[in-house]
Amino acid sequence: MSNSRRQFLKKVAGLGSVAVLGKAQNSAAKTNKPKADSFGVLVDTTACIGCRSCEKACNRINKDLPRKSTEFLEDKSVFNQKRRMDASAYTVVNQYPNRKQPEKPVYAKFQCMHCQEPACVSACIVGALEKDANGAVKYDPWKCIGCRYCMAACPFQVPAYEYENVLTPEVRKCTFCFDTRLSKGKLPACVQSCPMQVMTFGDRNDLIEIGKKKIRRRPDRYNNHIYGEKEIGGTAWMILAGVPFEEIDLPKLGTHPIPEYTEPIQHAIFKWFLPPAALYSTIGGIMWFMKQRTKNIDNQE
Amino acid sequence: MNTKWNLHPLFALIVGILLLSCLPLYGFSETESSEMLDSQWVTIPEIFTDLERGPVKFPHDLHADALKKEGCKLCHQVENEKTLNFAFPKNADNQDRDSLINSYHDACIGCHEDKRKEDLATGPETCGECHLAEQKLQTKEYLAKDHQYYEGLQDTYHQDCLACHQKDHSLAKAAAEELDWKNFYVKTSKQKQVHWPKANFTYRLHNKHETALDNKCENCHYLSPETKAKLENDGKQPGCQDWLKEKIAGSDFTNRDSAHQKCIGCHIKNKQEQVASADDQQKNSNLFCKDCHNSSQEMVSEEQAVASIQCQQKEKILIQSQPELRMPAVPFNHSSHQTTTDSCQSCHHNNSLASCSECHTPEGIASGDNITLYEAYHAKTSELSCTGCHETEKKAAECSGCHESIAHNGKEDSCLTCHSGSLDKLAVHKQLPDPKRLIPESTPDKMKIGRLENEYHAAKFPHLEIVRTLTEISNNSQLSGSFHTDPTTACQSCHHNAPMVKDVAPPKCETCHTARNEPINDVPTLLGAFHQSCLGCHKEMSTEEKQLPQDCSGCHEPKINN
Repeated sequence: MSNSRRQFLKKVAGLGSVAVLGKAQNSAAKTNKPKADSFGVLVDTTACIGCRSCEKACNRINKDLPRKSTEFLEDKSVFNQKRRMDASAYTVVNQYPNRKQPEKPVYAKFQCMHCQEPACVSACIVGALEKDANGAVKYDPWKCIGCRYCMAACPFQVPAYEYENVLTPEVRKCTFCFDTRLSKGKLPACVQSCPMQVMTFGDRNDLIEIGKKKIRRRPDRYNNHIYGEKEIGGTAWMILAGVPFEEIDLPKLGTHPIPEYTEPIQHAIFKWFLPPAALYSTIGGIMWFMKQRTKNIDNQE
Repeated sequence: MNTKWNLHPLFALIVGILLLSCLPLYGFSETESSEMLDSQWVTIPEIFTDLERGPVKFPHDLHADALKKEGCKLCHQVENEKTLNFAFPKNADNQDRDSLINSYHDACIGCHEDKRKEDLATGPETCGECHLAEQKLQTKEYLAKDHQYYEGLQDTYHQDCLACHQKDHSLAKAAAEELDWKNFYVKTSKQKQVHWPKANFTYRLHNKHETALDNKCENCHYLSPETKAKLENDGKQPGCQDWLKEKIAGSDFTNRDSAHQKCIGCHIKNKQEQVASADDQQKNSNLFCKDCHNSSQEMVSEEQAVASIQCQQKEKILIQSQPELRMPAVPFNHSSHQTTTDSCQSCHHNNSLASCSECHTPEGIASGDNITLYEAYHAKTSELSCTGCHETEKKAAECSGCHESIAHNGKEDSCLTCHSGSLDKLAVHKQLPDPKRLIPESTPDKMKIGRLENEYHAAKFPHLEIVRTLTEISNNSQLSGSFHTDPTTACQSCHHNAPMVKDVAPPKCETCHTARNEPINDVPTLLGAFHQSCLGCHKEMSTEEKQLPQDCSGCHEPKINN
C-alpha cells in the first residue's frame, strides 16, 4: 500500500502509451496503396528477340553498377542457363523453349515488378522500401539495416544483395529509373532502348486497355490473360505472352495482395498491446500465486 | 556424478541409422526393358475410384506380334463369326468391381501361367510386375515417350506435364519425383480415352482398295433397296455420293467400333484365308492402331487425285448461299483443292458428301452442332472451314513473314476477293509482276538505312533481292495467286498503309513513325517500326535450313568505342 501512488501513476502512463501507439500502428498500415494513376509498363514477350539492349541500357544508366562489356552483352551463350537478377544486373533476359514452335524460342525479361501492394515494402522493418506515388518501389540505402526480409517476402525473388560488399552492402533491384529518368520526364532506359518496342510505358489503367486490345486483335498470338493485372493485388509491370506463363518462369499467384496476409497477423499481435499484456499478466499472476503458496507453506511451518 | 558413458543407447542409435539407410534399397527393382516404353496404358474403368495398385502398362504391339498365329480372337471376342468386339476382357462385367478385377487377372495372368507351363517366354504373373511401382512412373523417360497418351488430357494436365517436359534435365527430374501418380490416375478415369489421330483413309488407300476389291463398292458401302430401285428406274449406276449417303441401320462409319469391325475384321478374315497376291504390298496385314491412326499427310499429284476417286464433282463449281441472303456466289476450283488435301474428309467431314448447307444453316441447327453457315465457311480457327484452312497455310514459314506481323496492321481481307459471283474470275491466276517494273528507276537495288545511326553503322538493305524473293514466293503458290490481286502486294508487306503511285517512291516511314523516343498511342516509333518490320519477318521466315539475321550485327555493324 505504500507504493499505491507510484502504482497508480504507472498504470496511467502504461494505458496512455498503449492508446497512442495503437493509433500510430493503424495509420502506418495504409501508406502501402498507390494512387490510381500510377505508371506501369506492358511487356509483350511475343515480340522480344533476345537482343538484350535493355540489359545494356540498364547497365549504362545506373552508375553504381559494375560496367559490363559489350562482348558480354552481345554474347548469346548466356542463354544456355536461366539467369536471375543479382547485385550487378537489375534486369535479365532469359530464353525458353517454345513447345508449339521449337525453332522460335521465347524470350522473357525479368526485373522488379513494382507491385501495387508490395510485399517487400510491408516486410521491411525500417521502412527502407517505399511505393512511390508514380508507381516505382524505391529503396533508400540509408535506412536499410541489411536484414533481407524483403528478399524473403518477394514472390518473384527480385531483391538482390551485395554479398561481396563487406562494409556497405545494399539491396539492389530495378528502380524504374525514377531518379535517373522518370523525374526528368524521360522513359525508363530499358523501355526506350528496346528496338522491337516490346515494352510500352504509360498509365497503368491505359496499359491494361492496350493489353486487352492486343489480345482481342490477335487471340492466336497471345494468351487471354495479362499477367500482373490482378496477380497479388496487381503489379506495375505486366506481361503478355503466347506461351503459358509458367513456361517463362512467372509463378502462378493468387489475386490476394501479400501484405493482406501478413499485416493483419502482425498488427493483431500487438493491437492495443492486449496480447503481450495478457501474456505477461498471466505469467505475473502465476508468479504471484506461487509466491502466495510458498508464503502459506512458510506460515504453516 | 557417474561420469562413465553409457554405451548402450549410442550403440542402438548407430545400428538404427545403418538399418534405416538400407530402406531406400527396397525401392530399386530390375530395370524395365525398352518394350514397355511404347506401350499403351490400360485405361482405368470408372468404378475404380480407389486405387490400391499402380496402373498397368500394357504392350499391345508386343502381344500382337507374339500371338500372330492365334490372332486377335484369342483376347477379343468374335461376334457372329464375322465381327470383332474389341472390348477387353471378354464378357467382362464393367459394373462389378471385383468380378472386373478377376476377369482381367484371369485373362492376363491365366494366359501367362499357361504359356509358362508350355515353357514359352511369357509375361509376368506377380502383382508388382504389371502394376508398376511408383518410381518407374516418375522417370522422365517414361513420361516423354508416352506423350500421345497425355495429349488428350492436355487441358487438365498442362502444368503437370510441363513440369517434366523441360529441356532442362535437372528441373525435370526434381519435378518428376513430386508427381502424385495416384491422384493423377484416379483423375484419368473420368476423362476421355486416349486420343489417337483420326484414321487417315487417303485417296491413295481408297484407290488401292477399289482395285483390290474389283470396284465392288458393296464390300464396304451399303445401298438401301429404295435407292437401288430409284437408280434402276433412272437407268443410272450408283455413284460416289449414293454409296456414302446410306448408313447401315444400327451402324455408322463414324462410330469407332463399326469402323474397326469393318476394316480390321476384313483384314483379319483375309489374312486367315491366306489371301496372297503377286504384289507383296497388297498382301493383307494385321492392322494395328498406328497403321491407320497416324497423322502422316499424303499429297498426290493432280492427275492421281482426280483419277483415284471417280468423283462426280465438277472441276469448278459455284458455291451459292441462299438466294434471300443476296451474297454473290463463290467460284470454287474443286479439283485443285483435291491436290492440297489427302482425303475427301478433309472438308467433307462426318463421312458424308452432303453439301455444307444441309447441316449448317444461317441460324445453326442441332445436326450441324449449331455452327452457322457463316462459321462453317469462315471460322478462322477451324481446320474444316475455308478461311481456317487458309489461315493454317499462312502460318508456313514463307508466308508468315508478312502475314504474322505487317499484314495484321494493314487492310482486312475483302469479301469480294472470293465472293466474285461468276466462274470466269477463277480462270485468272494472278501473278505479281517483276519488282523491277514497279520500283522507280532512281531507287538503288541495295540501300543503306542510316536515319537513326547512333551506336551502330547504317544498315545494309538489299531491297530488290528481298522484294524479288517475296514476289517469287507469291507466284509459286496457287493460294497466293488467288488472293494477291493487287500488283503492289509484295511492296505492301513493308510499305503498308502507303499510297502507291507509279514511278514515285513510297512515302518515308517517318511520316507516321516519328523519329522520337516515345511512341504515340499504338504507333511504334521509327526505331520500333524498323526493327519490328525487319526482325519480325526474319523471326518468322527463319527455318532450320536458312537462318535469317536476328541479332544486331547481322544487319548493322556496331561502332567501336561503344
